[in-house]
Amino acid sequence: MTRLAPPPATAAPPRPARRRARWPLAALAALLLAAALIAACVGAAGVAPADALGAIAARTVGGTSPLDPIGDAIVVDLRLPRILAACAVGAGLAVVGVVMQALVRNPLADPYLLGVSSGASVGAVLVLVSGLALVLPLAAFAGGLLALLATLGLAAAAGGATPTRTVLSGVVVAAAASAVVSLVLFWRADGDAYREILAWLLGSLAGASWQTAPIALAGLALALPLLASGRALDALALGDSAAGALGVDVRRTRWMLLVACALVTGALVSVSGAIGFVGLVVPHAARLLVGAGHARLLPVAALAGALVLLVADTVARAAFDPRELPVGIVTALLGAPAFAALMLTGRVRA
Amino acid sequence: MHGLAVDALSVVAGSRALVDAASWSAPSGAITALVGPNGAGKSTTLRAVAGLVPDRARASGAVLLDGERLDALPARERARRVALVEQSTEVPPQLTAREAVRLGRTPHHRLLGFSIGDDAIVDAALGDAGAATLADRRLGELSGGELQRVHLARALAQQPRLLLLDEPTNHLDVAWQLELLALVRRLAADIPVVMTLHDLALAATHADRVVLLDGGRVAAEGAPDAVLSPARIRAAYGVEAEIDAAPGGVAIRYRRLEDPA
Repeated sequence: MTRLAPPPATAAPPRPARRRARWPLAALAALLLAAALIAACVGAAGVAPADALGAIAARTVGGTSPLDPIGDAIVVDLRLPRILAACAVGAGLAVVGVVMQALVRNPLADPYLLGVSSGASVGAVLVLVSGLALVLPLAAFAGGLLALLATLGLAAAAGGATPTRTVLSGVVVAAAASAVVSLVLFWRADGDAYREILAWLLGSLAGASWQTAPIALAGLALALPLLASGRALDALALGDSAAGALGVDVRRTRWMLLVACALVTGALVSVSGAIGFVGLVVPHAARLLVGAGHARLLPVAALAGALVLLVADTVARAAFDPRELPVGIVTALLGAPAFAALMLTGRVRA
Repeated sequence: MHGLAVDALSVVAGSRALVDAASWSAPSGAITALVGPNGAGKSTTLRAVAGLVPDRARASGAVLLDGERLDALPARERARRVALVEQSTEVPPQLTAREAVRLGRTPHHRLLGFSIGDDAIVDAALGDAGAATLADRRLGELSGGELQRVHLARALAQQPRLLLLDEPTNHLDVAWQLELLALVRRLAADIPVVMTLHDLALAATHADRVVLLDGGRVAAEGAPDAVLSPARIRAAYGVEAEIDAAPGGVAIRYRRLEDPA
């Protein structure tokens, strides 16, 4: 009996860098659509996928909804804006996370690094304890902007927004803002307000509606210029002086991107609270999928962020029925093992 | 004039002159070595020619390339003419070599980053720098010598008319040093190449011209054997040097002034 000789061992072929470029985008887009459809169907009131699509079609292009008025309202007025908000917030946080990690050249950077979310928390907590919940997004956004001004002002006064100074300024401002939040909590909050505040601090999309979803979508629209910043980010990743030698105006680019990041974060956080994990870990997961080149990384991170947050939010509201968890808990609970699995099975080159 | 002419270049930080009215030139088609003791202003000079000035410092004087004032150009325009490879460029470990080299096209890009013919230029640059086989490897996997080739390829992708190299032989073993210098020799066929070097024997062997900087000023400029004399080395570095010029290359032995011969 003859046996076929095994094929001769050859040197490891070079990774096909160009070929792995396309499929993650298409696959993520397909998964996102599927997740959105599932999210529209599951929950306290189960709806068939065809009926959910019919109801949405009836409201957008006209026709009669296949659902009774209550089911119709649940799908179109409660779940749909929440789905849109989850996608917008997830995509926006992931893109901002990628940009922040590149700007300060630190893998631990996330959208909240500039103290924006802590500032937003101050605004949100102040209106929550005073019972003016209607202006919550506005107060949160204003708080975030003030924190941004404080962070960048501090960095500039100390000599310019270099990566280290930006990080340190953000840490200082965030610490001060967190102290204010704790102070208010300790002093004033009781019962319902306390619960509301905790939910907001952990991040939740439970309040998403047709009033607030457009704010999240506007935040995502603000992130579009960030999606086009891939080449500048790649150049900055080589170091400030190498980027400068390539003709990039390092100081101006960094300022513009930092401000854009903060505005996007402020808009998103004002809708959802400070949802953790997505802006920190999704960028790394996306990097495992498509590598570190930002032109490819940014759109993949956006879709992955939208998918992660949408799935997490659907689990948060459907899995523990009739209670609902703040989505920030679920992103970390599900995301941490998922990322660990990606690290163990994937090619981690961090 | 064809090549680089630096006229009264000064870089001043506060009240301290890092580079002090230095005038020197680097002709096209030749390798010019910038040498001098630590703190003489070699790297600062090189970076200033590329338009990079340290935070809180100011540069003055004129830098002319083929008669054109480089220092008056906007950064992008300058980056289309001058490429700089620095000593310790930190590298994003996950970037592939090809992606890194493609960044050399940055100054040539229009607003949206589309540019026709980039792939061919990037491939040619990888080939010219001897880095074609590294194209799809990640930077984090490369050795020091391989990285240096990728950096060179990135500089070539800029299609520069002046190439500046800061200590290109640093951290390379002797074989890689010779490889790299042979490569630089080929690149210097039709543009000026200026490199800083700590190793005076390498400068004496491989450079066509040497500019000796001391305290930010030009102490001597000219042919290697004229500039790198025992007297000049003693004045700039404070050491005794014994120079052996053989056909294969120059060897230099050093000794502290206070040590017996």
